[in-house]
Amino acid sequence: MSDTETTELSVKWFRSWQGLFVVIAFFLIAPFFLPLSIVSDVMVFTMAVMGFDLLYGYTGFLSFGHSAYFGVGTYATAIFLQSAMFKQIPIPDTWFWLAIPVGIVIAAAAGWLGGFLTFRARAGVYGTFVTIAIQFSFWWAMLKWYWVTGGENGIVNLPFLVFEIPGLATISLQDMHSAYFFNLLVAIPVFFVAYRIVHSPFGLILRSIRENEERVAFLGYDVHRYRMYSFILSAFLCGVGGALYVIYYRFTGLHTIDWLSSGDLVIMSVLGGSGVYWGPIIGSFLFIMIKDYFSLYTWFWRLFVGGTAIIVILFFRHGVWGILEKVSRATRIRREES
Amino acid sequence: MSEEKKVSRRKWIKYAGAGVVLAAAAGAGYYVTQQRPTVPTSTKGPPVKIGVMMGLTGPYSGNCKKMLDGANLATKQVNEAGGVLDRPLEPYVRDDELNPGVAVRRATELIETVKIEALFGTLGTHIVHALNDYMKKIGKMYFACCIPVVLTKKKDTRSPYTYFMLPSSAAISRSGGEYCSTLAKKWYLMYPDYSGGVEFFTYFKERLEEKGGEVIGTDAAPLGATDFSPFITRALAAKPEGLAWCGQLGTDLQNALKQSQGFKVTEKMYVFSGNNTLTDSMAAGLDAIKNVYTFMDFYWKLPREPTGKYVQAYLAEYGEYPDTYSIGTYTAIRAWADAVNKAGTTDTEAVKKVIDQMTFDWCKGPQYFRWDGQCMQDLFFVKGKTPEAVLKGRKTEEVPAEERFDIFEFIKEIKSEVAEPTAKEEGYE
Repeated sequence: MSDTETTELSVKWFRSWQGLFVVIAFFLIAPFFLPLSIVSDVMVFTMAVMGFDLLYGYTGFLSFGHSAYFGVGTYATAIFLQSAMFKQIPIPDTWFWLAIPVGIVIAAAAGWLGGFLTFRARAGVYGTFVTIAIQFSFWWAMLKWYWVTGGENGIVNLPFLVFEIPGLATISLQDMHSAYFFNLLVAIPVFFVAYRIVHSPFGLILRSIRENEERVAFLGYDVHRYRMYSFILSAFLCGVGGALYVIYYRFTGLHTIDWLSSGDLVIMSVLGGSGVYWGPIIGSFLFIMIKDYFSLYTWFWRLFVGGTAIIVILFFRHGVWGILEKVSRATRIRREES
Repeated sequence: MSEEKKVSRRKWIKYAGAGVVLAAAAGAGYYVTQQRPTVPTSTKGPPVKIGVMMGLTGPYSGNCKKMLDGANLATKQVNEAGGVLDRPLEPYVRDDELNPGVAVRRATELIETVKIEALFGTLGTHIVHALNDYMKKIGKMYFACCIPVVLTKKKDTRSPYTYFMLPSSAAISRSGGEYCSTLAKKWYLMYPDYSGGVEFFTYFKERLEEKGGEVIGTDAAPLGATDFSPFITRALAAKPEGLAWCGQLGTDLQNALKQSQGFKVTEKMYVFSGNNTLTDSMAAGLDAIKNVYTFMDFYWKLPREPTGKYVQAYLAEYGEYPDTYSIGTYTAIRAWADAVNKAGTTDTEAVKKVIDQMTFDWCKGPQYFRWDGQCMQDLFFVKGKTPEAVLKGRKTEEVPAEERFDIFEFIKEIKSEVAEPTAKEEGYE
């Protein structure tokens, strides 16, 4: 299958946005048969991988430091919550939810800065090196700024969100299940927005940049500007994931912003299928399940995770989604022939 | 090259890759049986399940492996003595990758799916922070087997069900500062440049100066530094009577001590390391620890009967001498199992009532849990022997194991009551 062919499955739901209802149903039902934190991580990292894939899968630019924006999202949200808890930001408990948009906006702003610095070095391998440097800079800043970020201890004991429906009820997210379903409520519109972005004319231009940047420029589009937009949107999506991570766990630390997390985003994208809307969902689910499953049985689980990634990269260029597509196409052809 | 040969090479790569995966799978299958001790069956009921979690992969996997060894030995001994409530004790081991998010995720799986009664292990204050918070919400016991920082033990932070098995950073640093004040007056202090390192340094300096010592210079080395020579040079230029490494751990400490000896620092002044282990010292080498004064919370040659029993059992099981990290999990599991048997139930509140009143001595002297969950225990100062004293003219491979590991000279012990933070400092008063 070439990169320009439309991606379709025999199952018609996944040809359009109706497939999102299947995804939402999964996230609604999964907590009843999988440990809650695994499902929460799959949801949160799906958004982060969607962000990464918007850049890598759609524009073809590989960022090896994208956990920086996920991490900035977590830290911005956590610092806001902590400041509000200690009344340094004078707002009542029922307004603590403001930490979410604050975290997202700051992550997007960090994305603007990151994109500005990266694309001054041009896209390509030089830009990739710059993304690594940016990620390390953010990581180092969070480590050294320990009187604000807690350093290697991170920020813990964050308050839970409380919502008051006047005259009706007060809803508290102290329980992890409540926090998870609240996060799902926030994630659902984000999934729809991300779907709309990649299936819009904007998304088509991004894909065109990946295919032939020069031709897009000759058609009159400002390639640099579209790349910047995609970088900012990508950081925005990572920031959403980061903010929801903090709402669920009520802590954050350097592990959200380190280079290993960046590598995980790349593997999840490649595993699921890059440049395809459903790839991040499949990739984050498989990656977390493979890691957790293999680590039950061996300390060498990284060998299996790495080995799986190598096999997928070498022999299944379009990830698991590509495999599903090939099977679907073969089935359809056989059905048509018979 | 012909098309035929190209196809063959691709097939060869595919088959080789499949072969590697199969071989790895076979190896993993072998290791499955090595992960946990065999759990005996019992007619009294199903096994009592506990979680054992630490960073089995990653930079501190060596130390974490020792923790797992201690946990497995404790489980074996508990089961040999009849188990918990006449039922076998069954540990479920998880790798937290030294990542707090992963630690909470795997703790969730252990509690919701496996249904453990208590959690043991973990290395790293960031993991302890995250798990303390989680276990507080869940209401299950958690025994943290690494050095706690004061922040985690404070009244408004600590879960009432979290217990800290090793001495705190404050205890280690204050006792170090106090001891160093007896060795010399003027000290140059080095510490790793992160919040934990700053904490070690602050407590050390505070107690040293309180006892009449003087800090004539300080330096903060980056965490993970491999070249300490610029820092050592600056320290030598200040002409102190002593050089203290407050808070360096693991490979940082190994490098710092080795490079200090390169400058022959121990011939010019006292050298103190605040956070040493047998594993790190053996890795650094006899030359590195020669004449270095060091703080330890466990040494296998302590002249105490329980220590001897523990050491013999550990040696018989693993063929090497136990380290600090092994005793944390070992003591925690033995103490918890004992408390459950006394309480007659695994109910958290009932076990807590018993364990908070218990005194126990499994391997290093009498221990008990204080009101902040801190395990109170004796602390020890030792001094590194010279290579000549250990080897006695022999080659390393000719020296019997017992002598090869006998690398420290025991100097004194102190009670943690004089060094641990007070109730007022932790917000309990």
